[in-house]
Amino acid sequence: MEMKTDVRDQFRILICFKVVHDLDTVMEEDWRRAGDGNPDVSYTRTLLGCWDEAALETGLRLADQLRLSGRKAEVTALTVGEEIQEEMVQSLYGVKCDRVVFWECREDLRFSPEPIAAKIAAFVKGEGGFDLILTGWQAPVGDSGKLPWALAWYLGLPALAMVKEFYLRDNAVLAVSETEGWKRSYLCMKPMVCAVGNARYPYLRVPTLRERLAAGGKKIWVRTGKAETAKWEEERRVEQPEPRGFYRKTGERRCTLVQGKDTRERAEQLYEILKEEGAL
Amino acid sequence: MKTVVIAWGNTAKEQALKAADALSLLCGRDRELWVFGTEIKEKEFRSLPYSRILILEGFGNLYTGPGQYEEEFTRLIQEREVKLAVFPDSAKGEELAVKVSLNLGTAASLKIICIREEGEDLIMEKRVYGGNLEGCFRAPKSAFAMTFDKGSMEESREKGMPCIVRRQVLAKGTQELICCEKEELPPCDSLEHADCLVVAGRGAIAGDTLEMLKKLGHELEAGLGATRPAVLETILPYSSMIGMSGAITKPKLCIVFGVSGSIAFMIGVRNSRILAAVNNNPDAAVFKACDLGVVDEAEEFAAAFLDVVRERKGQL
Repeated sequence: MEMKTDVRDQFRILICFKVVHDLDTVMEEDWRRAGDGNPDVSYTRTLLGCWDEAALETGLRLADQLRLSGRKAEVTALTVGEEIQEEMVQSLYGVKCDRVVFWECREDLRFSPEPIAAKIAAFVKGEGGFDLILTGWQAPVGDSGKLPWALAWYLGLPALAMVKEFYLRDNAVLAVSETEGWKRSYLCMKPMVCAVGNARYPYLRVPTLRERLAAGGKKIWVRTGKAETAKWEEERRVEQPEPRGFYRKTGERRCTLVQGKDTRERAEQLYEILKEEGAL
Repeated sequence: MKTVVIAWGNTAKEQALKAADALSLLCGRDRELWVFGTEIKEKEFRSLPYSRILILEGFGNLYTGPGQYEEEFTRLIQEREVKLAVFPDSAKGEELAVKVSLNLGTAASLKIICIREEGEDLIMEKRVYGGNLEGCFRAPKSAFAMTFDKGSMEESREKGMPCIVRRQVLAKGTQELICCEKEELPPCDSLEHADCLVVAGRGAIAGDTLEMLKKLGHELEAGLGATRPAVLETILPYSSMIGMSGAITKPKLCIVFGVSGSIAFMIGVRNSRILAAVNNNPDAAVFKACDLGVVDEAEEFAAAFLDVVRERKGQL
């Protein structure tokens, strides 16, 4: 198939990410006390959502490829939420994000990704000119994975699921998506939303000290709700499921440690137990 | 309350039976199945537990022009006064559920574990906070779309005598995406249906451990699964990922090597009849959620256990 060459000067990439708490370090009693859906996670560290981290690295790698091929690329990282650590901002500038935008939102939207998607859509419409919008596949707390689809819907753009990587061919950008047993390469001819899933490079690069220092002077772009976008968002509010209660489901297993003086004896012991249980 | 299940492709019948099971707690029997695909044979659907089956014909390609599907399903849901539309638990199913729901003015509910009625309300349960909590949500009052969580459904054994109708779609097949290349991924055994599983965690991918686990899996006739970190750091395919973002399994025996025990992973193996864990850290969280624990190095234990299995099999 003949491919058209994209001749625009600058390829603009927007990467949306979420700052999340490290839920693996929340104490068991805090989960058990969370019947109202508000577990105390304030003492845990904050980090990038794991799929969002993959989206950031995938987007930065595309920007690298574009620059290597002689084209200009601009990467904007955007997050909507209550807070973002200065250290995270400096890291993002250190790994060559051109702009880090923080849209402060104190509204409780933990289980409602649609209004967040509407805010991002308002940002995209306000800024204009993004060629590609990347998001992670899903993120806590809601764990729904709705944001990329809702964002595409608000913007009227096509969307791709489970994007693994991007590559250039004849100066055109192609996105590789793996879903339902098939690997498909799509041509990124016009703006689209890509939900990064099983990325080839899932971990964000680490900035060197020099890069970090060079990024020291850069400031985060803070954005709060503007009246015109607030109205646009409000008009697009939809009826949401209403939280009614939460509970902790725990395993009911009691672990028996397999004994033995050495590895071989423990292996034999495990085999015998499994045989006795009819599992082998 | 009118509900509709939407299914497509080679697994349409399986999807329809699973959704019928997942909807069994709802009282209403006014349940439709809308199905489309390249070769839909009516006889396959004749005894499914639905009151009416619509076989939709004339759609374009779902993977390059999903817009026509959104348009057609939105129109059909409104025309047939459907309250609840269930889409498949796939990436495309989730995309369509979100977009169709937004067309209807409601938020979709994805990855639902169970749905039931409480008086006038529909109550849905789903995992939140990375699987650490389960939440109950009251569904929107207006029509909405949803998907069930993988692993939360069994195939229904109910039978029915649906009225089957073929219908031509009205939406125009416009192409929104240009797919340049398409390649079928290598087939792999479905971990969801495996009787026995050997699972590699991040602590079991160094050196020859992974190769050892493959051999052990072969000897035990077990599927080989992996945690997310293990998939990301090895050449194991995404389809071997177990946990909240991967397969939800229910084998008779599952042996996990070098797995810390994070809840997002444990969700994928907690339905195992016997769960055994090998980890060199006696304080690892996995030992709080398994039946049998071995405190040992994954590589050494895998090698020793492989020898034992081979020896005992050789004695038979």
